[in-house]
Amino acid sequence: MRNSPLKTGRQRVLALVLGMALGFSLSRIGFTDYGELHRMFTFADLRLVMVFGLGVVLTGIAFRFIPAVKALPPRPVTRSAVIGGLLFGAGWVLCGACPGAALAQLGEGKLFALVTLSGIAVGMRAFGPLNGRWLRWDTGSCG
Amino acid sequence: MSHWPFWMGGTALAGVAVGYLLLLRRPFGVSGMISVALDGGARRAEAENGPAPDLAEVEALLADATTRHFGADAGGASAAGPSGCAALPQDALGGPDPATGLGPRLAWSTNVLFLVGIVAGAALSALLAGQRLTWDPGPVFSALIGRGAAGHVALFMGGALVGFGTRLAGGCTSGHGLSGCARLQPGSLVSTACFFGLGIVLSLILAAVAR
Repeated sequence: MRNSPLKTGRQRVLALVLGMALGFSLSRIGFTDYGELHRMFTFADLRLVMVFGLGVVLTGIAFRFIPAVKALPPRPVTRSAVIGGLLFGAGWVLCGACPGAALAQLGEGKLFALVTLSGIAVGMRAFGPLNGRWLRWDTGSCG
Repeated sequence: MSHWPFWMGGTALAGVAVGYLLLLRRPFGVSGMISVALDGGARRAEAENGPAPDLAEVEALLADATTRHFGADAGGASAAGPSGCAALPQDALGGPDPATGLGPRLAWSTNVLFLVGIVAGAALSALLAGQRLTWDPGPVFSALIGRGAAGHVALFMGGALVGFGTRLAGGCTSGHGLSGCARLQPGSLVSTACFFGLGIVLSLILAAVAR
């Protein structure tokens, strides 16, 4: 059984609008700027830390009123959550972008993000074969 | 570009995370969406040929065939049950599951449109601010990481680490950091502490070395 075309069309519009809201916000927040990121990580400027903290708190409050939250998959502590997080942290400092911010950088006309995004694509594509052959770690996600 | 004050930024991020769950009825996470977009071939085939067979269905058929061939005593296969992933309603359903409120997996094109939206939204922001196209990652990046070829190698290697790491961790700043932490999920809190923590340590080292 498949989604009805009408429903899928509505979902596409919603996805595009939500994506645009995220891209616009990441740009205006300054998450796409290496200088801002560095000042966040070194605590030279607490604005980005507070942006993130407030984002988590407000999301947490809103989630309390949404029943579907209970059905979201649990995220237990795993070896891959730790090591994957560490690798991501190192990469973030090196290239100055988390996955969403790299796309936003490209949108802002920061063309060097093409190099970052190529790296992200290679890293993601390499994960499947590498993990399948040698590591065999559970990523804690189902997709 | 002048940046938003913290309360505007935090409200906007929460708005997207909550809006995503309420409107698209799926767990929010950008790295997962990029991963799905990269697996385009498989997803498109699925869209054309219908969803891949359900694991539980295949298992039941196999168990049934086993029983028919070897007799009822041979069993065992059916006791295992499908993987835990079946907890999330997937393509089999047409709309949000009334019991959970979560919907089926997004179509590949819907996934890609969200990512295109990120690019377009950021482009709108830059256009309104009058920014121009540039290959320059900025003075702080040049001073701390490098310029020219060295800088590009760092961007690529950093990107590869981000891609591999977020796949391994099963989430990034949005999936683990924002929505996972908001749900107080232990794995998300730990993963976020790891990427933020190492980010802090490495950035402090970089700042000390560059001084």
